[in-house]
Amino acid sequence: MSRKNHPISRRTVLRGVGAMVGLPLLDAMTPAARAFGVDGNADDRPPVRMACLFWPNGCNPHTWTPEGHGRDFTLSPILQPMARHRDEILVLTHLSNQGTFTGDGHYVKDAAWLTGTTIHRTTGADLNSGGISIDQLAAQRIGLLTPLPSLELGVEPVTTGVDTNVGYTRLYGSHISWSTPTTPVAREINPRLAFDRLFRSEAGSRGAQDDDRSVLDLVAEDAKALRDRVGHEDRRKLDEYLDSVRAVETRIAFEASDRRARYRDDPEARADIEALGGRVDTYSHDPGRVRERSMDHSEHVALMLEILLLALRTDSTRIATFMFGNSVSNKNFSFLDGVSGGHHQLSHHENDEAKLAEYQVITTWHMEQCARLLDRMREIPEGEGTLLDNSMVLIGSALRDGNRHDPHNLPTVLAGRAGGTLSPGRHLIYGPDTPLCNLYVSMLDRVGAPVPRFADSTGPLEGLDNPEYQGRPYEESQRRGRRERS
Amino acid sequence: MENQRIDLDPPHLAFCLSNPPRPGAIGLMMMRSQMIRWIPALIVVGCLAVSPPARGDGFDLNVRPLLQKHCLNCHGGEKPRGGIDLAQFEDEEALREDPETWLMVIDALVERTMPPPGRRAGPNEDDRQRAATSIKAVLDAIEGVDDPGPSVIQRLTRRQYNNTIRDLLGVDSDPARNFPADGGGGGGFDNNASTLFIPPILMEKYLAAAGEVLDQADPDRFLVARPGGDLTAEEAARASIAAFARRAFRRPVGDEEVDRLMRLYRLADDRGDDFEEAVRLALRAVLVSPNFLYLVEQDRPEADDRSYRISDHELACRLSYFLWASMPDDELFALAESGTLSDPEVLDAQVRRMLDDPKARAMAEDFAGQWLRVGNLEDLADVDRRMFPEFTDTLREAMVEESIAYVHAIFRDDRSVLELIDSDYTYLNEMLAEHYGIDGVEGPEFRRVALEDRNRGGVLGMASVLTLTSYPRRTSPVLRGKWVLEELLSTPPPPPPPMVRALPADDRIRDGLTFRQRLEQHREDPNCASCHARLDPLGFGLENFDVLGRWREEISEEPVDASGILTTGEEFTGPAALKAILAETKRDLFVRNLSERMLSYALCRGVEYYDTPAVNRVIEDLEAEDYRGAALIAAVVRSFPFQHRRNETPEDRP
Repeated sequence: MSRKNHPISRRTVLRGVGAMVGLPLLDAMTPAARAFGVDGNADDRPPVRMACLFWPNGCNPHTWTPEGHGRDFTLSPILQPMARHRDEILVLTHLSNQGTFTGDGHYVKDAAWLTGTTIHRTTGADLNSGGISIDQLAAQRIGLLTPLPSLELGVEPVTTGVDTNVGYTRLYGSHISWSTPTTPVAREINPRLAFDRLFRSEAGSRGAQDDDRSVLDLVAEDAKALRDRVGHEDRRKLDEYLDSVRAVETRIAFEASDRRARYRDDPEARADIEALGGRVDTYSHDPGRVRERSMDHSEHVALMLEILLLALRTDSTRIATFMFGNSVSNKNFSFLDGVSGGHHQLSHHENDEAKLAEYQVITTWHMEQCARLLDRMREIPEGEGTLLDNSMVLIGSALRDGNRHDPHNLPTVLAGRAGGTLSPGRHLIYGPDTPLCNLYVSMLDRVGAPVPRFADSTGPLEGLDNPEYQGRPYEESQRRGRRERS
Repeated sequence: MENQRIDLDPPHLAFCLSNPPRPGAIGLMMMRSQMIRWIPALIVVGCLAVSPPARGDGFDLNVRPLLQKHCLNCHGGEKPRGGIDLAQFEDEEALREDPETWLMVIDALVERTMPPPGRRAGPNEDDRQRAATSIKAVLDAIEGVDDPGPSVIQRLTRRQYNNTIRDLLGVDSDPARNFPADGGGGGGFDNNASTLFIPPILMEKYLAAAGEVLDQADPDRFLVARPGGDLTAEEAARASIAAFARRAFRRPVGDEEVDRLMRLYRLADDRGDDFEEAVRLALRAVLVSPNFLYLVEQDRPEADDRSYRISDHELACRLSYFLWASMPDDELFALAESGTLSDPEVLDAQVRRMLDDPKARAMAEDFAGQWLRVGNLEDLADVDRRMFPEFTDTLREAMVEESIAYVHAIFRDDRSVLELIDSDYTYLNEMLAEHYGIDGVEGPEFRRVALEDRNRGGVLGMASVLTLTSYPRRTSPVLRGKWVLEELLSTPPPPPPPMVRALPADDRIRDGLTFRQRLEQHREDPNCASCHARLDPLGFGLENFDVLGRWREEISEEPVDASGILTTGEEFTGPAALKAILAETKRDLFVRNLSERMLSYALCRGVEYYDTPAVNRVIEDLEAEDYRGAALIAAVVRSFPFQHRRNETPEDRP
């Protein structure tokens, strides 16, 4: 009952990450493009952006995997919306998140999608994801180059309470971003608040910013004084408080900088920001349509993804996550033709053909929303290419077949060229249960936050930048698939 | 029912719990320490049928034989594996000496992590559950535990922030409306200290809200002195800032703290801001300070014991945030100042006074809203509005108000908490009365209404609960039964096996079978039978209430069959009879559950095994005082963990 055995402290973790990385912070701050040794003036090259888009409840396992492999593949039914981006995506087959093979069907999988760890089963007292998520790790390394270290968006409110079926706090299911193993990062789900925070919160005068800064300086002193007078757990809370004070200070400094103005004054970006502001206001100021909207949350999703897009485009941040829904989301998708129920309910299809078909329609809709984001990214010229060329967009779910809560062979797409360091247009089949974290090692490298290892990774994921790499043959994945099902 | 054992089929449990945890990147040492910390929570809300602590022969009968057969080969002898020697425990007394080891054993049993996979088969599901329940009963019987549990500094919830600003500045403008939602943690309440965070996005909002509310406030609320007469501007500022900080920090403030704040005043003063503006800048810092945003309780490095009594100021805070979800008022401050608040008689009188105050409604909203889950009806009710266009926002709000007003009255008017299960009154306005088919209630305001029909009265006759536990187009006896087991009795059933046949989405008659007949057919499947025998009858008893909680005599033109038999043998027909049975034979379970939940809400954390003595005391006090609502609150306030704080061991210090 004594508290001798403490979970790893935040400081230890941060130290641990530092040691693991083994790089001085200065190197970590080098813009991504330079890390890849591109010729010319590295500072003028657009930075590499990373977005991770999560959808809950898995997918119809029979209609996800493309036929064929390497460059010679045919998109599967669920991936049809990606047809117009066929040459800009990598479909990755047989990646798994080993840390999530245990535990319940959803929370363990989803909360650890980006951490690659095993979360702790708790009703709330000792929330612990077991690790930092890749977006937050990158934010801690390169986040200081932008006003916001990272951006977390979603559409469903945090689900509260305890799922007594499985003994996990539902809090886990509402978070994929973890800034420390014990700190889930809150998401913004309200389009107006998300938009205002990014594009309207500019403290008007220099005076107001100075005031904010003075207040923050003072409360940081308060927190430090208090820190010396409280116990271990409380100190952790105060460290979290101090981190947030620093993040806001950084942001205020950025808002005042010329570099910031350069991005925001770009006439095309300006026009898009204003147009989006109008859309957001219409959405927020039309209470009469609330009920109608609850029947069709396409516009909500579209607005959040557009906000994400503009945040990346204006270099407000280089790292973003988006959750289409929380764990076990039973969002009613009957606004889609051919669907008559809730998402989670239909994911338990019991191999009933009709339900599998409905399940498929829902996931296909998610792919369509992602494809629209890619459309927009492709429209935006940047350097010698487009925003999409300079980004990598991870699109995935933390389980495969929702009916079985299958954690193997996760549905995973990586879109974009990450500044020319990805060679998309391929379906790559890997060995069974290749660590998803190998992909994360490759992504962190490209975004400018290289790590030698991440969770259960065994190295970078093979062949991402090599156009000649074909992966394993399609037939092999089929044979394995049959074996898994039998 | 509560003592009925759950017969889980192994694939079902495997589905729920899957493979053993993998050490992963964290390392084994951490695994162990982590396990110890989270197992208690698992016991409280696990797959087990949690029953009142039984004492007696459980160890010899259910545990020792299992250990001998499956565990001692490795965890015994000269070199026990992992240093865990289970052979040394001879009897229950020995087991109580080392609760942490036995919590790990429970975990290994329930999570099926032992014996390690690949070895020979472990105990069957029945034996695992029986042994785990027995060990838990032994641990629950630990006497004289003096651990008040962890008390992590709690960040104000959104509701607490709003209420505190209201009482501090007289500004009631919902300044927290745009803050991110608070997640619910152990015990299911959103005031759980360990799940309340301050991410950067919230810090930005605190900064903005502090400016906003100070602009809205009447300066008389925060300027206790103005320059003039003998007072310099500096002196007046200092007096005002010190007085404000003292109220905002809910404790006396030190000179160095005021000095720090005065720097901001001078900064503004030097650049020519007027007096009021300059003071405001310092007050902004007060409202963003951790001393305001967290309910801070200070460490006592000099204390020798494992725990110590909290200060009167800290007690005033615990009380006011428990009962008002807000800061202490002047009277509480004064009593804390004089050091008399912790005097038992003074404390009892304060509880009484605070419950009489309209601010105590906050507890009903917060506690009952989250416990009964009706506070979130807007998000949780999944009514098909095309089929039920009468389910308007106004009706939904009225449904919630009935529940909140009812629970508030139990504590304010000091009525029996058993009336939560059954009573002859409720709170209605005209709209809801019409919904229920009750005449003579006019106007939009809620008032107490005597009921002639005993089918209403108590939470099970409330439209909020009945709507919450319905599917979009039909009622669900299963969901309603589950709600009773989980929320009222705290004996949740395990999750359904993965391959269950789904039931139709509405209650039309199909193939000549009513919906109830279909459900009963479902129960013939042995995989489903044992749990549904517990779930369904409770829901059948409420079948006279439709999706929106209205009375009905027919479903699809067939008479409603609202009869049921509980697994413990009681037979009944209809809600009134079911409620009477619950109030009589399930009273102890209900009272224990309510006491644990109230304690959890008051302590801002989940209830753990070391709280068992405190829970038992609360229950004893409650029984001795005829289950009166105010007596429950007073017993919680009197409890050891409410008045004490865990002392950190020296090695925790920097």
